[in-house]
Amino acid sequence: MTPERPGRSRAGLLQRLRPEPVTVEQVRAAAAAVLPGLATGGLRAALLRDPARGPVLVLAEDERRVRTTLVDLAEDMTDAGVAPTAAGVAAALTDWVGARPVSDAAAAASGVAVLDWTDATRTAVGWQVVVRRGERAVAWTPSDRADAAVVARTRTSATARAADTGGVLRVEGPVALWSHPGTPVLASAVLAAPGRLLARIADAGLGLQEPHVVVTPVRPLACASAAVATRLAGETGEACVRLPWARIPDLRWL
Amino acid sequence: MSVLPAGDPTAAVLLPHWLSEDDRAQLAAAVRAALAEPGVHPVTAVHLADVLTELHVAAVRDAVWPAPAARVRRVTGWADDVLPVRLSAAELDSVLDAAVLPAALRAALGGRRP
Repeated sequence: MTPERPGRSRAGLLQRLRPEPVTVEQVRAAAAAVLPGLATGGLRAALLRDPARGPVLVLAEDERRVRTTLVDLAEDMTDAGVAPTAAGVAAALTDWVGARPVSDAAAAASGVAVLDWTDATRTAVGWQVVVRRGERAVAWTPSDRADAAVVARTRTSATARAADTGGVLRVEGPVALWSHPGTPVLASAVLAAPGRLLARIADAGLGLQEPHVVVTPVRPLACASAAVATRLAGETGEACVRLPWARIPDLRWL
Repeated sequence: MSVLPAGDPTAAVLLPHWLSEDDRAQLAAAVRAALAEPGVHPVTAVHLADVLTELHVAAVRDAVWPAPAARVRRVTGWADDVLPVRLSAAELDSVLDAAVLPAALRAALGGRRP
């Protein structure tokens, strides 16, 4: 027989392992506090009653609709380890609204072209349109209504905006680093006008022989001569794509 | 299973040497001094120039991909300014042969690791 150990309760241990749950009531309170401020422009948010599933949160913006029950939202927040406090739940709900799909109109009005991985193997990159929401940038997937002409127009405008997105150039010996301090995903937008970037690097005093760029989406771009780029990219275990400058215009849309 | 790098089979294997900011500054100064010597062998000069390049590239690697080195620093307790400087055997030999290094830095580069 194993003697009982005083002060050790199995339930207590389990409680410590399980995150403290976010409740539906907390999500409802956060929705009441946060949503009126977020529902600006074309975005509308409503809390509907569903007799079977309980309260349902609906976001509507142009052609896009997102609906989820507060029960599911509370469970997702619990799983994500959100602090079950008013501030924690409000921040998580703000994030959730910020991650909503991008409408065709929003992409056309403010989309920016950036590079992202073509697939999960993370061995090639291609262009996509993203829309900035604070520090986050959300990718646009054309809706069923967007025909080829709409997609082409949106991509053309996004490419033009990308060239003017701005960023910070830092020269580290034989390497030029290009980053976007506010929204890291926008660093690669500068490659929409590769000639302009090369001129800026030259203005900063760095003449590159056989210029190459090392791209890792959401990280700063590293621009260097072929040999230095090989050394840089070949010795990192991280996923990246090394491209000769002349091949940058060949990058395709995702 | 091969332990050689998957890319160019003729490329030299570069091994990491974890150096602090002071170590890297001392290494750069020693390499520049060695390069300025009139009698430096041309092949040695190429390797030494590559060491200077690597010192910059090491800093760039940490700026673009900070996570791997940060993981090692967390596990080892090394200071935030310690970075892996990756050198080939020929580059390391050139430094150890041609550069006048402080004893601690020579030991750090010569040993397999602190």
